[in-house]
Amino acid sequence: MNRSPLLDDPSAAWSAYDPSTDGSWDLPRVAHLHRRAGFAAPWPILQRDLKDGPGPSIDRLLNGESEGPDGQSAASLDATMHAMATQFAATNNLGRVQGVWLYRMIFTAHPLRERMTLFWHNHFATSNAKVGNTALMQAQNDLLRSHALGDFRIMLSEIARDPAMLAWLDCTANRKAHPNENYAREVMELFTLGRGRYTEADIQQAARAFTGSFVQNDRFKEVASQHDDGEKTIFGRTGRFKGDDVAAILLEQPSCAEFLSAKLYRHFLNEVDPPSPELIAPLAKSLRDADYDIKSTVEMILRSRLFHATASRRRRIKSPVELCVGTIRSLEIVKPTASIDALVQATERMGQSLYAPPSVAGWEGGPAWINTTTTLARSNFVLGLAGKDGGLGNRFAPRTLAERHHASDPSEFFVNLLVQDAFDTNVRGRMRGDGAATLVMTSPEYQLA
Amino acid sequence: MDSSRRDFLKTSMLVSMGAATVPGFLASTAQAAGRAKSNDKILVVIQLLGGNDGLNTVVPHGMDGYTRGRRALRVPTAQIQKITPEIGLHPSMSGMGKLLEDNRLAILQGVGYPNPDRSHFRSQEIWETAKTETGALDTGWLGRALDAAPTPVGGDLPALHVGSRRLPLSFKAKKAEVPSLETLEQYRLQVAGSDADKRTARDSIDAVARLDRGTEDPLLGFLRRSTLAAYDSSKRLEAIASKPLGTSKYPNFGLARRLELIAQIIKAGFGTRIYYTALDGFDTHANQAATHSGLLTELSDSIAAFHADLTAAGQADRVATLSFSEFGRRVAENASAGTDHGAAAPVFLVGPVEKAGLIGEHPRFDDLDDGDLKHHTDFRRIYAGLLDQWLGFPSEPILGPGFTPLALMKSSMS
Amino acid sequence: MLRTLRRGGERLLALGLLLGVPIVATAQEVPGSRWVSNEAFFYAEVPHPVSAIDRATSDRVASLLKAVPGYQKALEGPDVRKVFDVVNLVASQLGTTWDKAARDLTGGGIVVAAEGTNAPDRVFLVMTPSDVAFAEKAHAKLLELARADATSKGNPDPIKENEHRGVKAYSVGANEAHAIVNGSLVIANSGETLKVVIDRALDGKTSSIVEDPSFSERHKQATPDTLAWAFARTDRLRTLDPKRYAAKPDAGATFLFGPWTEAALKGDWAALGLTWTESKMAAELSLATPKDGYSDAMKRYLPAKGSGAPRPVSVPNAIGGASLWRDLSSIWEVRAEIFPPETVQGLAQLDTTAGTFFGGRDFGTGVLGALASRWNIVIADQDFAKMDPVPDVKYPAFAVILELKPDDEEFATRLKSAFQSFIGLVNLGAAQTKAQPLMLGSDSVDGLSISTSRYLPEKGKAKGEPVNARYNFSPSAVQVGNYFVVSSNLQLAKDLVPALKAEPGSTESTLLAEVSGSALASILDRNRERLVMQNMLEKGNAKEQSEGEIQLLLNLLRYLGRASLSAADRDDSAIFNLDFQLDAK
Repeated sequence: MNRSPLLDDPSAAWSAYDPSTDGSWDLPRVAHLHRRAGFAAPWPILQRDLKDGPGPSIDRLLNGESEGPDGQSAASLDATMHAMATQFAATNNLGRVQGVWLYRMIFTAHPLRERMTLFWHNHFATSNAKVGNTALMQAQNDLLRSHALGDFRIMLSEIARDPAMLAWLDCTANRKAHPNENYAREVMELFTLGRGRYTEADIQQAARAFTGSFVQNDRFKEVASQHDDGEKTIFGRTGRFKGDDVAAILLEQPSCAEFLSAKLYRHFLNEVDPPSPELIAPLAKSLRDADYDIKSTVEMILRSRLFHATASRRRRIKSPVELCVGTIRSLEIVKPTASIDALVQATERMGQSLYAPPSVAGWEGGPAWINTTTTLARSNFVLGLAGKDGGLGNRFAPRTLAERHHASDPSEFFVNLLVQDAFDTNVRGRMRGDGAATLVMTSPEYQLA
Repeated sequence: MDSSRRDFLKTSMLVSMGAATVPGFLASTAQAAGRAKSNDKILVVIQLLGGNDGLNTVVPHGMDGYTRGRRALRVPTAQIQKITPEIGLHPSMSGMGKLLEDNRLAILQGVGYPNPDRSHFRSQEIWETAKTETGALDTGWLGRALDAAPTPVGGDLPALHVGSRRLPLSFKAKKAEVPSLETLEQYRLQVAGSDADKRTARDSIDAVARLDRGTEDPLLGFLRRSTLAAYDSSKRLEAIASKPLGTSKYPNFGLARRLELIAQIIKAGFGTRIYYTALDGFDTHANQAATHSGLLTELSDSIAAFHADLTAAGQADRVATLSFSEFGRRVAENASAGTDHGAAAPVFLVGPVEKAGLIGEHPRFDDLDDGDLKHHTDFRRIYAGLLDQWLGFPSEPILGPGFTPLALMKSSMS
Repeated sequence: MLRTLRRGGERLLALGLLLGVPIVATAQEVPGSRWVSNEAFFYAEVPHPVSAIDRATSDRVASLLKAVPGYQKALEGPDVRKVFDVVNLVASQLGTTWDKAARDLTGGGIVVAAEGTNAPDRVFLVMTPSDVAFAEKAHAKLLELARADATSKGNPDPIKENEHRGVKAYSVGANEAHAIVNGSLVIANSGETLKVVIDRALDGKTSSIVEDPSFSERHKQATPDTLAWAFARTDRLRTLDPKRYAAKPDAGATFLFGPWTEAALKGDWAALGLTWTESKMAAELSLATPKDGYSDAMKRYLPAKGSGAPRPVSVPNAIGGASLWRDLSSIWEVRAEIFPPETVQGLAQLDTTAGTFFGGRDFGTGVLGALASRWNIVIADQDFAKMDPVPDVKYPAFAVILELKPDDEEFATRLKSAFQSFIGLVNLGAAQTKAQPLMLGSDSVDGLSISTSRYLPEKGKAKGEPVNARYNFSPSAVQVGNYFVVSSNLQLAKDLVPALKAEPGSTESTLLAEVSGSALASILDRNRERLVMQNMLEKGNAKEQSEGEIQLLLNLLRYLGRASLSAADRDDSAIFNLDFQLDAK
């Protein structure tokens, strides 16, 4: 594996990619962009973006398109999804609520927004296993979506009032006499600063500031009489702080922007080779300079030379949700799409159950996605799509899809659609015949993003 | 949560994967993936839900306390399979009686914990978390054992729950995730078509993963080896499970079917070392006799068939089967020909046991705790013995101090 | 050989479905039926295929079919297209249309039969055209086309010609032979079979099935409206395929259908008639009781004369219901005889559960023994306008009516307390999920006290917030004389009081069930939004697709009108009727 020289030259790494000097805007680059910033893309979108160049392609990902993969307008889908989420959230049927989100990811006209919502779901990892109330989980999901590419400061202050989060972190009675340190600790360790960037004293003091805010009967409550109104000293600042003041102090810490930037780096660029602090510094600076506007930092990543460098390709393992939704979208299985119930089951078997991350730290990701059971589940998902029955089967005809896009050689078409430059000559030579699509999708290379 | 440990593991993995050659950690993972070492010991846990009536399971028919406490429900002495002149097995347990004769069954008497709780939920929590203090519910004893083991990246999962119930608390962990399995389908590559079509399709999928990639990125290499290991497992399982229908020697019980599934996975050489399943229905407050007898038949015949299957496959010496319930029943039967929640009870252990037969005294009838048998052996000493000496996990960090491991199984590791 | 029979059977069945319909008069014999020997093990007739074609191509059915997703697509599929092209080509060469050709060719009726003692040696079909000349012309045309096709491909003549007693026979392979005999087209599974049929047609001497009393007795079942009628000699089928008939029915089938599975396996014959008119679709199946009568265990399933299932109870807003005569305590006694050991063991658990709920009573004698044999289930619509809060998903109400034996007065009290224990248990479960509890209460009607319960409205709920489906339920129980009612909602329990005081009375049937398609449709309609969304997730459909599918379901239910099923046990047979009153509300 060639190490990119950009990794040692942060300013060059984050400067804007220019096709004339940094490698041409070709199919592998277009597909890489969609794999990382969306949920992969169908052939017509790849071709359109290949023609339009990186600028408009990235604009569209950042701002969303006017219609989804089945031609439905973004506004009409949003209305449908809102009605659907409302219907099922109240049923306390987790499978249905998971399904609503998967449905949305498949049909969305703004895949980056859904991807970022998933990113924040992993960041503010909350599980229905403990919350036990899908309406609260759905409300949190709506919250995360509305700020997914917005202002992290607002998101942080709203998540501190989110009933699902508070129930998840045991803030059911955060009283003056018994401040809940667990919550203060998670806010610092997992939401803002990262481990080791604070002292125990900071946690104890912050916990006092959070007293009086808790969840009761599934609603957020602020009880002034239970708030510890005394002076606290946090990160060297002293005052009669409340929860929001703590959040403001945390956001001022340099490590906060560094921590978030490193997470974005891991999500968009590379989850296996840890970046140097120097490489992260420019991203963190941009995040702080933009007052924690997430979109501008994501934009900086997506337009960067490092992002488009060939060495950045396939440095992540697709999460089960990425694999499912991406495959469905690439193969244009949208009219109808696969049974969502079957997809919920498939992602679960691959080790990712939406709204049920294993712990406060979310899904570990990377190689931890892979074991005997999940590997077979990944292959069986693909085989299910290629099959004739079940909730996944009978919706995908490789030949028809290849013909629709005037491809004379289906195997070449599926390699170009799904993995582009990932195969070496030996492997490429094996992709033959009617089963080529299945062979591509069960290959180890296809598991990489 | 213990982030530091996890971060350490993650970092060491990242470092090793960045290296140009295949790092030792990954090489050993891939090698270990799928195929268990032949000396790896396996633990199968069968939890009896509802509180099994220990007194009518291992019956102290010759003791006054029993005959006084049990009138309508007394098992007639003549039908009991005698172990000692005073104690014997319920007549429905002929399968386990045979295991006893073959020195493959140990019965630990008088097992429990201090200050017994008579709520099903609470007592199950105590057995499953191995913690008697309230609030210690975030992890189960086996979950903690799994968390302490290296992350099994790429290979077979270390533990498996078999059945359709929700995941037992015993497996709840901070880091490790244990899947539930109802059928073998999830463990097979599900290709459609005729047998020949299936073989061709499987072979070509397999061949793609097998192809040498020349200069290979370690991440891709890792995926490739994990994929091959998974397909290998699937093939082995296919070979075992493709026996024609009707050749099963298991009785037609739910528990037997679950144990058969576990046996198939073990025989296929999977690296999974801990299996867990349950048998429900032991909460026999009224008209107990027929129900209880039926449950004991299911338990005993199923375990016997499982053991016979493993023996025939040469696997019986690496499998220990533990069976326990959250509590026993009261000594005195109630007015509805049933029994109510009690305390101490016997625990069964099947496999290459160090000492077969009854272990420990039967709890005394003249020293009851509010009408319940008192325990003399803390169940955590059994767990400790299995963890330390059978599975090879240091038990103290998992169970806490003060539980001297019992030497229960032969060829223990220590 | 049996495989060929099965395959043949499938083909015949498919043909039957295609041609599906009525007859002119029962008395009238379908041509060809006399050519079937009384040794046949299977016989089927479509006396009047033209009405079948009329019905299947009626506007109403056509429009229903058109709405079936995939139907239009299937019609446009390459295979179906090819068939249509060939059919149309042939028809146009004959100067007619396929529709008229089908009527002309089948107009006189169709008979299908299978004969043979040790194997299904003879299988044949007799199709009588209304216009013989046209049939001959069509046949000649087909031969010509087939031969022309073979010549153009350089293949040998695919059709062999023979003659038997002056009748010209044709064959297109080892398993096919046909001839036009006395104005009917006979298609047989071999030349040998064809010869036998020709002999019977010319000699008219064979002992024919139509003269066999076991057949003619059953055949009276056919009416002028009968679309198709089939008769099978189960005794002969048993000899042909002993394995299939030796199979033991599973525990569920034994519990539900008891003696009827025994009749299907051990009786000597089965007969099935289908009817389809403008206003009605119906199927009537009769199964012979075993020659030596039912086994002792199964006799316990049969009501004594004059004491069958209770008459359906009528309540306002009824959607449907079922009633059954079943002596469970007597069946319980023989459970070890009729169920496999693992089921018997599972049943033992009931004993323990019953003991817990009914103060130590034994399940068999103490609980089932206290119940009489007449059971009723009622389903009725709810008045949602009167509800507060109104659940988002709206279910109908349902109730189970048990009849108590008069001599065990304490049992009704036990039932009431078991009902209350059950509510308590539900609340225990609800407490774990922080759901609203059910509050016990009481109400009264006609001086009878009703135990009831209701979910308290959630505190602080704003208008327009989702309302849980549990608000459909207000579980209630009431004793009315010898009847004990457990109902999912209070109103239905109240409505049942006067209905039961009026004593519903008994019927001659063992089982009765009915449901109104249009009432069912309006319930679904009320929940349409939810159903559409569920469909979207289950099938991955877009909204419009799902809306279409739900609409189709509603249309189908409305078309089927009122459905009813009955099963009656007579001395010689068990008779099942499934009826759809197509125009009923």
